Amino acid sequence: MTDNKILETASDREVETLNIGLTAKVSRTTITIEEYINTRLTQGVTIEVIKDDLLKDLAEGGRIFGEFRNAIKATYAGSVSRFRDTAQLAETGMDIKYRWVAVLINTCPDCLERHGNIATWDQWEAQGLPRTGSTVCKEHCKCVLIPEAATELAPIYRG
Amino acid sequence: MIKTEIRNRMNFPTEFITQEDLLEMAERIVIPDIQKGIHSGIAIDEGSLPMNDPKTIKRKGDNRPLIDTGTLLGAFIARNKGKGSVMVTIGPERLDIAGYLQIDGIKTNQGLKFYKFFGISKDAENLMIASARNKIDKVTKR
Repeated sequence: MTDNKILETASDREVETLNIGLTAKVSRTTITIEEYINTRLTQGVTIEVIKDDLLKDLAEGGRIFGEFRNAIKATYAGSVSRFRDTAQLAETGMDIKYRWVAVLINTCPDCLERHGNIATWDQWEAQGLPRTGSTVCKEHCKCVLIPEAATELAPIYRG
Repeated sequence: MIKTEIRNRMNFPTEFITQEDLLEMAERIVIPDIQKGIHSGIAIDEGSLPMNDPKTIKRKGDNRPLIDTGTLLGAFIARNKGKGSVMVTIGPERLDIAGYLQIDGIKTNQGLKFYKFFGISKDAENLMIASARNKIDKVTKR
């Protein structure tokens, strides 16, 4: 049975089908950039090295800038097929785990890597849901998130 | 035997790019970039926006795709969503039509045509990276 509350919440996230989300949170540890720099300075690291590290992290989308870099990747936003994911979530709820299933025809390397992996909806959302631009195939992604239990392989019986 | 173990105990700053930075990037880079694309007829993926139908050109008196009354150009909004997140969206006055133009597409004799005008262009991405780089310069100035 469809959980209306989940459907409502998930739809809220997509109600304006055309949205650009800019995000920049990194980890749960709370230190400011000043504290980070001062800590490293007291460890004997020079300001030039700290700057180089930050620039490298920005260039490569590392631990500090990874989420920001993912969020600002060039993409045209919005896809009707994302509603399929919302409907799936509303049907099965957030308490279960979901398996990333790729079509395996002309599959992009990101999706190939994720194919078969299992995580909660929140974890998938953090990594980037299908068709949200987090994979090489961006909005053209054909992958689906299917409840883990529903994708267990069953033996084939022959008569 | 002495067993050594090196652990990374470094905490990383949670808010290098702050909510205010994101809002500024949205208002100063993303929205103007979308508007610039519409003005110049360039799609967000750097292709061209589709030509208007001859009937539409006749009615409007020019062939500027997506520009008529100017409502769409003024409909882009940046909103703080909290927790390091800012959303750029389209005001309700043009949301339906915008979704129709970009996502559903318009049926023509040659098939569906899509107006990909909303999103982050490569230019906007590069400008936001440059903005982050400026901030690194600023905070590491001693």
